[in-house]
Amino acid sequence: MTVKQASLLTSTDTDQVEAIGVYKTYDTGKLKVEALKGVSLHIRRGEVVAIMGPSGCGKTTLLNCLSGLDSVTAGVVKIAGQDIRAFSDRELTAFRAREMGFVFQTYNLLPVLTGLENVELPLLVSGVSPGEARARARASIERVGLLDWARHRPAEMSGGQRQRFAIARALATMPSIVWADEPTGALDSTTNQEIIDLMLSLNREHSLTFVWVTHALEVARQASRLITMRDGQIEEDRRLLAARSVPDTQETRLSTGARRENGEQHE
Amino acid sequence: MNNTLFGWSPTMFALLLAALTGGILLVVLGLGASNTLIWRMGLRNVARRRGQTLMMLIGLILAATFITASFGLQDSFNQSMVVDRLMKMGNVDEAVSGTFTQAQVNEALAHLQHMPQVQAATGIVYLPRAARIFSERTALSNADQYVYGVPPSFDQVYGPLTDNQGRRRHFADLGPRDVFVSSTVARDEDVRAGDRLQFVFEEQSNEALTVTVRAVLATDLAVTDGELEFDGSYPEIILPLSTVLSLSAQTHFLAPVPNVICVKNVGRGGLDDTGPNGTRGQPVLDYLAQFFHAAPDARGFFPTYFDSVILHPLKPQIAESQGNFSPLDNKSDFVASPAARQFSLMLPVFTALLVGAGLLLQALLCLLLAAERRAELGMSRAIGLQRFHLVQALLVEGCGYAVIASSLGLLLGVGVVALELAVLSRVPAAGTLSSHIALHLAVSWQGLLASWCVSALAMLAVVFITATWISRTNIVSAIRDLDDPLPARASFSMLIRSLVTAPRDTANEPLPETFARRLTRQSAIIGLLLWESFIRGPLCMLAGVLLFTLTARQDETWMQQLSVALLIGGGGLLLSWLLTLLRVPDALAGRLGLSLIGLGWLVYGIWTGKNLLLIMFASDVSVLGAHAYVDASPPEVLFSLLLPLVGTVLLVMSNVDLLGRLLAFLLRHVRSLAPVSRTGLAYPLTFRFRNGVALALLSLIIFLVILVVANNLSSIQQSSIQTTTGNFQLEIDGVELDALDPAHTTNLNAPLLATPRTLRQEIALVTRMRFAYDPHHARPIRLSLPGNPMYTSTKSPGPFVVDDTFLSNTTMPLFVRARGYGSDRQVWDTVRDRAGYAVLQYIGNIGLPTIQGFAPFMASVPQTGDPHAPYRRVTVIGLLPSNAYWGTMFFSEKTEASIGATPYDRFTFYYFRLQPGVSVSQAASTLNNELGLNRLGIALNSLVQDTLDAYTASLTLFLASYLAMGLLFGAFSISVITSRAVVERRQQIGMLRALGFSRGLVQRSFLLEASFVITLSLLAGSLLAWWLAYQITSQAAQTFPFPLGTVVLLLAGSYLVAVLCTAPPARRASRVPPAEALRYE
Repeated sequence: MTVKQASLLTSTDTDQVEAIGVYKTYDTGKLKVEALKGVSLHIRRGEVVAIMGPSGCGKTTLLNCLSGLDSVTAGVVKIAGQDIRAFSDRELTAFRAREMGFVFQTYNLLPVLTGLENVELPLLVSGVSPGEARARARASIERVGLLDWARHRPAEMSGGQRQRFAIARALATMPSIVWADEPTGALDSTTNQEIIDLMLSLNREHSLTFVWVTHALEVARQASRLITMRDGQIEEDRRLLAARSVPDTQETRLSTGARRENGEQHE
Repeated sequence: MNNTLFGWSPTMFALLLAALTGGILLVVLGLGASNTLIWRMGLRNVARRRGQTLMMLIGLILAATFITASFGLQDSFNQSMVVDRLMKMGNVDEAVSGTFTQAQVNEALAHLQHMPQVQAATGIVYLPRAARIFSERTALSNADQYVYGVPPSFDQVYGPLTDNQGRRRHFADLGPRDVFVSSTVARDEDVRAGDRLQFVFEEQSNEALTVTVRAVLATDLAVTDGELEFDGSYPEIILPLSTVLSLSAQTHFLAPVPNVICVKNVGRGGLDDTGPNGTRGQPVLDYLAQFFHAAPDARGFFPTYFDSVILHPLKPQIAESQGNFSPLDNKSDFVASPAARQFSLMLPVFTALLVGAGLLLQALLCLLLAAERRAELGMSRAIGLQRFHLVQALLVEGCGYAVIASSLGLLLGVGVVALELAVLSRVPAAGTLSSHIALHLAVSWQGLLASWCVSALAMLAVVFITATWISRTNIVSAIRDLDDPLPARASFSMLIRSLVTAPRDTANEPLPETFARRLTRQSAIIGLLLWESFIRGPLCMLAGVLLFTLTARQDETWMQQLSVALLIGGGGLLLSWLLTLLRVPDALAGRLGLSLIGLGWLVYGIWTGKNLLLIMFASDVSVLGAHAYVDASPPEVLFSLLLPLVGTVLLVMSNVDLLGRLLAFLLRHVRSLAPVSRTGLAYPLTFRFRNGVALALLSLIIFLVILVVANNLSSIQQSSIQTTTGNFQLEIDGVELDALDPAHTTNLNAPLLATPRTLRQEIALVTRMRFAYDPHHARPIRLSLPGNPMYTSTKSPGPFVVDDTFLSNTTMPLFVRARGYGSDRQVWDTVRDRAGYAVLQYIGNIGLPTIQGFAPFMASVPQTGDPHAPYRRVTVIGLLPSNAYWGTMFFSEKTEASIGATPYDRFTFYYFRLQPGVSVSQAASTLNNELGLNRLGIALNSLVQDTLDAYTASLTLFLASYLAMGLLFGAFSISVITSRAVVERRQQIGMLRALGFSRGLVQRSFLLEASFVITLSLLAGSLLAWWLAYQITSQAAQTFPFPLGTVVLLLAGSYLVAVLCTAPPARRASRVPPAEALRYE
């Protein structure tokens, strides 16, 4: 472990995520697969952390375990100072709805709902009143620059637009952390960069913490911190000098709108 | 819907159901209103996959249709019964019957006619089964006619009377030698208006009265509760009261006094006459009860007896009193035809099974939809939707399906009832006591409401259960579309330890937990402990023991059967677990355990359900001896049918891999199928539960269809005249002959025996049988079998002495013959030629041999009819089939002489074999004309059962068609499973395509997979049905005429329908674009 890594593992008051000695073993009866082998890390509020590594190294498993989507076999996982292992399924679900947002490679929008309804959904299940949910969903969509597409269903949108709605949905509950598993994996390079820029601008404007799992180095190097994994362990954890400068949010919105008007093909 | 259920009136029951359904729908709607997005999600999902929604709706509509049809058919039966009873009783509101004096009748009538509640009252004579008629036109004679003697004033009591042409008739118009006949006489005895009949009382020896039929009435009459509540059809001759009284006076055995007083209350007729709350009827009943010291007939005897005075409160009590009326129950049909028994006992069970199949299909479709939306469900959970949100969304969707399906099913159900009634109305009569009630459609609003609610509730329950199951999906696996992790089997010690100790992780570090988590964790562990105890056997066995103990003193035998089934299941599971503890490989332990359970259930199911299966399927219930009329409840019937089948399915599914491997090995040698020989069979072997469910469903339908069809068609073949009488078609009944004046019959023997010569165009053979002795007080025949049982002959009270003509010419196959006899003919010849030999009819349950080659045994026969006569022994060398017309012992005149019996001349029966091509009516007419039998009052009985066979065939077709609708469920369920396989194996399909599988090959692979399950289902269902039908038939006969052609056609049709249903998903699989499918990987 390097000195730099050691400093990153030290717990501070501003820690958003704290993982200590996390193990995850998949037991298929005849075979036991150790996906995580004692991973420890701390993520501070406002960090953009990219987790990289070869296929099967355990990066998605780590994201699932840290976000409470999956249980850990051993070790401690704390989010915002709360040990999520202590929660019942119901408490954990409510906690996720309140504190976390998710963005996935395949967008995972509900096809029967419009973009606006998809964004409203986590608000409504968190107990927010319908009127406020609508207003907050619209605001969230506005932040990703797709208000005009709010009434459309996912099948009518391009891949980039779907991912923006997924981000809007992740932001709607005003979480403190957004987990993104291969957020640009299904996008072309131009759209890919737009999504990254959007997330970075949200990070800067709202001090949102982002954790990206990615294969792509060009994505990873735009994060403020890069964790490299191999065989279920953290191989390297280092801060990057600075994220690439991002255009103003308004500009991003305009450029997206212009492309749409030029007839961008849906994926 | 006129009966009561759980003590509630139909209206209360329907309203309670409506309240429950409405409440549940309101709760779902209320929850939806509180979260409109989930509401919208649910509703939009209904229209999302139109094909699947349509399939789900078809399944649910069919289920709702069956539910509605079940309620509606019973409603219609009940209402038809009420209409029929009201028609039969006319405007008669109350009656009293008994043996009265003329003074009593006069006084009662005088009082009644002065009562303000009474409009009219009169006395009539009613004599059930009292007369015989002979039609001069048809030359047919009919006994057991019901006689009514009615005065002209009966018109005022009975009300409007119409004939079968719709014309008004009046009792007052009857002349001294005129009669009306009831509709049954016209239908069953071929009597028409204008016919001249010779009418004679059964016990009257004087000359017959020649009467003219003035009209055939539109209905039968009935003014007594025995006749009304039996709901039968009665051959009635209605004469003027004066004629009947004068005949009574001549006979000296009937008092010339009316024996029934009929009353019509003030009112417009029908149910109106009883007045509000019985204000008009009750005073009349009170008076009759007080005057005659009469009470209603609590025993419900039929026909009405006149030894005591009986009060008949016809309206509204008798008119509307019923349980669940069936036009077949308690009628001769029930005894004579297996189809009638199946209709009565099994139709509710068939309905329940079909409804269950529809709901199972719904569950499979829900799981298919969940498989398709798996990633969405996972994502929904990830972003914060609780499990109950998912359940709620699916319930809203389910509400949509339930409301649409229940409403459409209601309409279709009423249509199906109309169709069923139309078919049932066309079923020919099975016997003289059959019910001939005109069936018409009448579904009450209570029935409709209850059907709708039951359908909707059942659907919502299924959605709720499957939604709860679906909501437990693993979030990570769902989002990433991975296989769900296999549940690890926890040890008991670990579970108990984790229940009582604080949780620790694998590093033995304590885990923090909130109260809610501790509660859910401990609940989950307790649930897991119970589940693990159950699937390892001990808890399952304990449940069986507890259930057995609790139900040991109850009449519900099916509960005890269930408890034994649980014990067998627990035993198999326990064995499997113990074997794994002994390090036996899991697969082998599982195979042994499940095979044991399957075999146990199969054997126990057949053993315990044997009597019931025999009652439902035996061609002749007399074979069953004392157990013939068991009143089986629907759960008992269901259990006796399901347990053997579920056992078979379990046996097949636990060993299906062996069959699969064999098939795969064989297919490898077929070039076009070699590439799919593994892929097409690997999946059915992997996903055994879902394939087992589909297999159980399809095989159940096939099992029932084949069992009903094979058994009943075989029964029809067995009831052929060749088998039942040895090819003799006409009979002169010796008991009826004996009742006639001996002066008329003494010289009849010779001309009857000469008919093959004198009437050679019509008669081929005549044979004579007689009782060996006066059977009335004789000692019973005894058999030298274990326990020396008494032989209680089923149809005749003593042994028959048969002549050599019969013994030489009978074609009747023996049920079994004794060792040393190579053919049935050899047995008959021995009985004919050697003294001391006999055959007797097989009767179940008294220890008679059932296999060929039994050791001849002795039977002790009383020498005479004297109750103290000594026994003489004869050797029994053959057993007649149980459906033989004669239910007794046969021996020859030589044997009669050898045992020292004096020939007994009374009760001589004659049987005629007709020339080929001669009809029964033609031969009967010739015999009557040539020998003047009708003048002598001698009736000729036809032994041909064509009508009964047609009846059985029609009802069998009805039952098979009803069940065949269930085939759709089976076929759909396999289609749904194939669809789910396509959804789940999208990536694998892409991989196969990438590996070089053509579209055709992918399609073939899926079709092979479905064909494997379909073939197994057809084999399991049909083989079990064949075996059971064989076992049942072998109770009555050694030969089993299996209707191979019909069964092969049924199986081929079923296979085709099922494969056609799997073709669309297989085609869909072949069109999966490989690149897109693989991109998910």
